[in-house]
Amino acid sequence: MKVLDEVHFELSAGEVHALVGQNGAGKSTLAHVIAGVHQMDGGEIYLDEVKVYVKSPFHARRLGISIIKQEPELLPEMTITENIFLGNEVSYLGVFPKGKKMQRESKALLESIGCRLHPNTLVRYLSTTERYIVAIMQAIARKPKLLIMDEPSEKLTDHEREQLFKLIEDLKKQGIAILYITHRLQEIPRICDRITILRDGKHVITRKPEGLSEQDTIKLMIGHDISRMFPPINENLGSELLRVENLSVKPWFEAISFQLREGEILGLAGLVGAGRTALAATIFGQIQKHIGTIYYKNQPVNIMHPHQAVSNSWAYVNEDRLESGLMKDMSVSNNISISNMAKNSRYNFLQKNQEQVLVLDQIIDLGIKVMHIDQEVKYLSGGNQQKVVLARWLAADSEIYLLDEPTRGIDIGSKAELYIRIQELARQGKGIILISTDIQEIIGLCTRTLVMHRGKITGDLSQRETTEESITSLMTGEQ
Amino acid sequence: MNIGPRNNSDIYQKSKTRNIGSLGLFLVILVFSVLFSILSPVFLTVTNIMNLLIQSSILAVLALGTTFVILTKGIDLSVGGVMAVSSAVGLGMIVNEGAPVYVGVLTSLLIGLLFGLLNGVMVTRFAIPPLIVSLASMAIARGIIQIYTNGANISPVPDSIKYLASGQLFDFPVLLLIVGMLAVIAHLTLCRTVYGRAVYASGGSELAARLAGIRTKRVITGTYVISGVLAAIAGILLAARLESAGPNAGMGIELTVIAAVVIGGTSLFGGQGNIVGTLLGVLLISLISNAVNLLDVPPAWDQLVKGIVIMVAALLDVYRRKYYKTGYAIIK
Repeated sequence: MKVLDEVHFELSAGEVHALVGQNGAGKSTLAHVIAGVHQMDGGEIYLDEVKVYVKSPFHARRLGISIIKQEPELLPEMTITENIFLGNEVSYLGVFPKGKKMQRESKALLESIGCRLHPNTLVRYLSTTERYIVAIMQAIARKPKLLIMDEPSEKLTDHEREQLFKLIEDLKKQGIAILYITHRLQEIPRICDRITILRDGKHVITRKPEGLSEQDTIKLMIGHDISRMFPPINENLGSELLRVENLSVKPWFEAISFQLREGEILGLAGLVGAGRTALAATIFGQIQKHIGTIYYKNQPVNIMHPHQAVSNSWAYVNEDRLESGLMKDMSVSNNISISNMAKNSRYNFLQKNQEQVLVLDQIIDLGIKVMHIDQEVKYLSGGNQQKVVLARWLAADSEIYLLDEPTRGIDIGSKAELYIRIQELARQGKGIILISTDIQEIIGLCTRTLVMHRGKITGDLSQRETTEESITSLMTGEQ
Repeated sequence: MNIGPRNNSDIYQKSKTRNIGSLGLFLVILVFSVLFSILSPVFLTVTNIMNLLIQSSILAVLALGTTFVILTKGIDLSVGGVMAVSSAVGLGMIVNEGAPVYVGVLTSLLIGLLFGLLNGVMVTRFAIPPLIVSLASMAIARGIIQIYTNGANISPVPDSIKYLASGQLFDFPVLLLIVGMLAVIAHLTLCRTVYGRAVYASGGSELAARLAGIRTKRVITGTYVISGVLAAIAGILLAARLESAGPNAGMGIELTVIAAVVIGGTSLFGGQGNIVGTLLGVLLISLISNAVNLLDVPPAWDQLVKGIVIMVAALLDVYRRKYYKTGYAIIK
C-alpha cells in the first residue's frame, strides 16, 4: 500500500514549514523518509541544490538533518548532558570528553526553553514532557541545517510551548529550516511561514497560512466540514459519585478535596508537574495514598491496587497509552475485553462468543478502524489505539472515568468523535475527571474545573467562570 | 464521517496469517524428517517414532511450565534441579521411610509447588531478577539432593510408578497419554481461561495489565508455581523411566528446555507464544537427538552437531518470522 503518493514541496533556509494532516495521512512517514528512517520507492530529495539519497538516520545526521520524533529515543540510564551530546561529544582529541563544557552548554540549552532541570539528572527520572525537551535539545545540539519536529507541542504545557516558539524564532534567525508537523492548527499562523496539507498520503496544497482559516484547513485535511468541535455540555447532574477528602501524597500533592457528581465532567487543569497525573493514579490505586479518604457513593473505600478500582467500575485512561494503557502485542479484541473478563467467563473459562459480541459492539460504536478483531493493537494509528483504551472501559461499563490527556497525539477528526463520546457518557450519568493541558478542551467539555498548582488546588471554577485567562493565571500561581 | 468497518463480518474475519508461526516450525521439522529418513532407513518406523516421542516426554513436561514463565517475561533455571529433588525426596519417602506410594507422589508435588512459590514470591514481591532467583533455587535444589541422597541413587521404584513409564493403555504408552493430557490442559489454560489471558497481558506489559485491573504479581507467581509443579511431575515420570532417582538427574536440562520453548516461538520478551509452538520446539530438539543416535555420529561429535542444528533451526525461524512480520506490516 502506498503511504505517500507523489508529495512534493520545498523548504528554504530560515523557513518554518508546517506539515498537517489527519492521523495516517503520511506526515510522519514523509518526515521519516527525509530523515533516512524509511527508504522511498521513488522521487528525489535535494539538499542545498545537491541531490542526496538519505541512506540511514546516521547519514541524515551527517548531512545536517535532525529529527525530533514523537517518541524520543533516549538512554534512561544516562544523564541529560550525556543524552544531549550522544554521538556528538565535545572532546579533546576525540577521546577525552570535556564534561564541564558539555554540562555548561546543556544547561544553557535547557535554560533557553525555560527548563530548570540540572543537566546531571538521569533521564530515567524525567517525565514524558521533560524527556521531550531533552530530545529537542539533543537535535539542536547537533547544529542541523534542517530540523524536523514531529508534533513537538503535543507533549508540552502552554508555558513550555511559548518557550518553544521563542526558540523556534531563534533557530529561524540562525538560518535553520524547520519542518513542523502538528495537529494544533491554532499555532500555525503564529510560527509558520508556509503550510503543506496532506490527505491520505497525497499532496493537497502548499501555501502561506495568511488567509487560510482553521475551518478551511480542517476541511482540506479531512475532505469535509466538521460543524462543531465540542458538543453541548451536559447540565443534568445527579447525586454524588466520588468524594475525595484531604488526600495527600508527598511530594506530588497535598490536602486535595473535591467531589464528583453523576453526569459531571470535572476538569483538572494545571502545568505538567502540578500533581494531576499523580492524583489520578492515587485515586486509581496505582500510587499508595499517605493520608486522606476517598468516598465512592458515600461509602469510604480504601483502594490499594488498581484491580479494586476496576471492580468498583472505575476506569483510567492513562496519558501514556503505549506504555501503560495497552498491551501492544495483544489483539484489539483482548485489549478491549481484558477488564471485563469476570463477566465474560463461567467457572474461569472465557465465553468467547459473548466476548466477541461485546468487542464488536464497541468497535462499531466507536468506529475503530481495524482489519479484524484479532489484529494486534500496535498496528493501529494513535487515534484508534486511544479508542481501544476507551472501548475497554466502556465494555466494562464503568461508572467513573479518569481520563488523563485522552486526546494527546490524536487528529482533529478523532478528537471531535471522542468529545462526543465523553459528553454522551456524562449524559448517561457517569462521572468523568478530565486531565488536559489543552485549555480549549477543558473549557469546551467541563462542567466544573479544578486548577492545580504545585500540588494544591488553587481554583474551583464553575462552567461560567472558566476562561482561558482565569485558568492560566490560577495554574501559574499568579493569584 | 464513516470510518468504521463496513460490516460485522469484515472485522469478525480471523487473521489468516495468525498461525503461520507454528506452521513455519512445522515445515522445518518436516524438512528435517525427510532428510533423516533418507539418511537412515530406521528413522521412519513406528518403533522409532514412538521411541522419539517417549524420549521427548520429560522435556515436553518441563517445557510446558517454562512456557508459562517465559510468557510473563520470566525465566526459570531451576526446573532441572526441582525435577531431581522432587523425584529423589518423593522416592526416598517411599523407599527409605516406607510411606505409601501416594504420599511419595504428593511429597514430590508439594516440593515442586514450594520451589515454584519461592521463585514467584522472590520475583514479584522482592523484585529480584528471575534469572538470579531461579539460579539460586537451582543451587538450593541441587544442594538438597546432595545432602539427602549422599550422592547415591535411590531405588527400587514401586511398580505402580513404573507403570507410568512402561505401561500401555489400549496399546498406547501411558507416558504419552499423560504428557498429552498435560499439554491439553496447559493449552486450554492459556487460550480459554481468565488466568491464561492474564498471563499474556502481564507478559505483554505488566504496568498496562495492572492498570487494567489484573493482579499481575499473583499471576506471575502462579506461572512459577505451575512451572515448579510440572517439574515435580516430570521428576516422577523420570523416576518411573529410569527406575531410580539419582542426584545428577536432569543436569543442564533447563537450557534445552528454554531453547525448545524459544524455538517454539515464545518470545523471551514476554506476551507472545503458545503451547503448540512449544511442543513443536520440543519435537524438533528431540528429533535432532534421535537422528544423532541413529546416524552413528561419534559420541564426541554429538554435542557439536546438536548445537549447530539448533542454531540452524533458530536461524530459519528468525527468517520465517521476519517474513511474517513484514507481511503484516503491508496490511497496515
